[in-house]
Amino acid sequence: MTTSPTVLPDTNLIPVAGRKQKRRSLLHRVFMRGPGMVSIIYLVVLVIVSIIAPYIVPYDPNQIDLRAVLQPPSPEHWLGTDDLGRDVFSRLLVAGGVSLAATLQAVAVGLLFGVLPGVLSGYFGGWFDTIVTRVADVLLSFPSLILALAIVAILGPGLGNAMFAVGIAYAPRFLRIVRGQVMFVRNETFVEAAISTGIPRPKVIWGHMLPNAWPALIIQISFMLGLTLIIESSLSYLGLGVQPPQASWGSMIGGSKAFIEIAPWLVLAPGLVIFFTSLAFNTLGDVLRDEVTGGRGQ
Amino acid sequence: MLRFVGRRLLFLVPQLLLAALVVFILTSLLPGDAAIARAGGESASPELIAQYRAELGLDQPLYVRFFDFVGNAATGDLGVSFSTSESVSEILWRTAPVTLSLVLLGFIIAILIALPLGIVAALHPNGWADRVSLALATTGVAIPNFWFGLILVLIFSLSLGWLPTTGYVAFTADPWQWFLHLLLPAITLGHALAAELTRQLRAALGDHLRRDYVRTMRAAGLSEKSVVGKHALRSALGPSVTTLGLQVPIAIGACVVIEAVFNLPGLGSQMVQAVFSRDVQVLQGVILFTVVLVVVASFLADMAYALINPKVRAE
Repeated sequence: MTTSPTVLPDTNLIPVAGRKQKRRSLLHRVFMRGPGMVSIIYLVVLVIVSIIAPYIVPYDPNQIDLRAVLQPPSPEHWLGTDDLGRDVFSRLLVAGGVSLAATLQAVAVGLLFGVLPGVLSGYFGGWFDTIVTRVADVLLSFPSLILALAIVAILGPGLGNAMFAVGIAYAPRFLRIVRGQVMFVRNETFVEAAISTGIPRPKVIWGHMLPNAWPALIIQISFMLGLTLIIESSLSYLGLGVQPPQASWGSMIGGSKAFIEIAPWLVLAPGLVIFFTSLAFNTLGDVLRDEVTGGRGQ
Repeated sequence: MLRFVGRRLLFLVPQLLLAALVVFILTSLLPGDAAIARAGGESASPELIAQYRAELGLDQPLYVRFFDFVGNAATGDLGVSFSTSESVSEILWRTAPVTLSLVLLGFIIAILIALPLGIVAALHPNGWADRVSLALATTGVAIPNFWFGLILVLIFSLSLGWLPTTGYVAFTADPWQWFLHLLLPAITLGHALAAELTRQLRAALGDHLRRDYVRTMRAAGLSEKSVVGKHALRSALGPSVTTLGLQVPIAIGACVVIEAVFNLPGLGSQMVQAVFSRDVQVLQGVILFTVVLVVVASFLADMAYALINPKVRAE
């Protein structure tokens, strides 16, 4: 899961005299590979559907209908109904937006708390670096779900708090990557040159050093999105994430596990969607890594 | 070897202290404290709360309280639960065996899956085992544990009736029932852990099989069994042991959800319960205990690695 620092090899820089050679973007190269294309299409469709879900759902996702509880899948209710007679298909679509937004929030928090200390730690080194990496190492030795539980205990149950917690738990991973990359290029000639021409330090860090960390960071973000989705659904399954009547995929499973024997579709559908989505993020991460490092990674 | 152990032990102490500090800071941030809980909630009179605060030492400065906390923890005194008045060390004594049994069985199942699959995959790249190992590696990461556990319950307990659905039986009470009750949870955990392990073993063994010494041994006429089993596998197992150590925090984290699915009264269930009832003392104790477990596990993994690979000792 953790990715060792990788530096983009410039294998695609083909010098062609007299002709403007356009270097194809990373995204384009990823899209040209089968698994990458399938993952991207799946995720794009999922995001679009999740955004427009409130306008296209066949039923109100929170509409309780006690005359139609626990109905199996049928032409009226494609994925059946739950224990309160709510349409599972509608709930699944709307919950998608909740799950995806929460996942993005956690990764954004992780980047916010990971990138800046990572940059400073890698750039300045010395005692600052020692302290930052020690603290990061200790945080990494906490099981991330348990760290998240502790933070949820402080802030109280709720999706926003839970995702903030997960973001904090993941910040050390981003920190390590950025720190490694910044350290890697700190003494390179191009950085020295940039500094000697009088470019302010923050600009050197942001414009010259950090771009070297982007490929490794993007790969990690992709894996992290997959992992965070699982953690989000786990916390919501436990009842510590999203609070009713709002639903995320995880809480849909948690809310209906008591009916698994008589209405297995209630558990199957959200679980499969979590699985496929997490799979798409992970596959995308794999393909990105292959494209960046140039070969099937370990 | 002894010098290596000593040096590594020196590292262990500051690591544990830092971990204790993080746990202490986290739980100090929790709203409400033991004094309020003991006085009967926020509505209690301020005098009563102040009195309890003095009794419990909560009016001391933070650093004094931290050293008290570490000193008490070292002697096994982790305080008393707010909600049940049971001592936290008793709670740990009751719940830790459940989680440790689950983690142990989970790792055994992970190794039983990963070892043969990783070896066959490395011996026949792009063969069926390689494909299975790749599929396992991908699904192991992407399937939510709690969902996989529920599906296993649906198939093996509810539909086929082969195994008990939920609950726990202590090993000392009935070893066979203990095993039966933990089998599905352990498969859930083992499946998740096997993914990374298989991937790692396949890569490491594949790498060693391409090296010159393996070619030389084969040329010298050593049997394939001896080349792979005795030489290449031994060298490739080193990194896998480290992977096992690194997976302990993942396993303990996964236990929280798996215990909830199978109603196992372990550390994870206790922690979730403590979060809901805002029982700071229990939360503090359980988290500290799990972190100590993780740190000690990584220490043991380093030791095992050093035993397998003499090069590590010399560094």
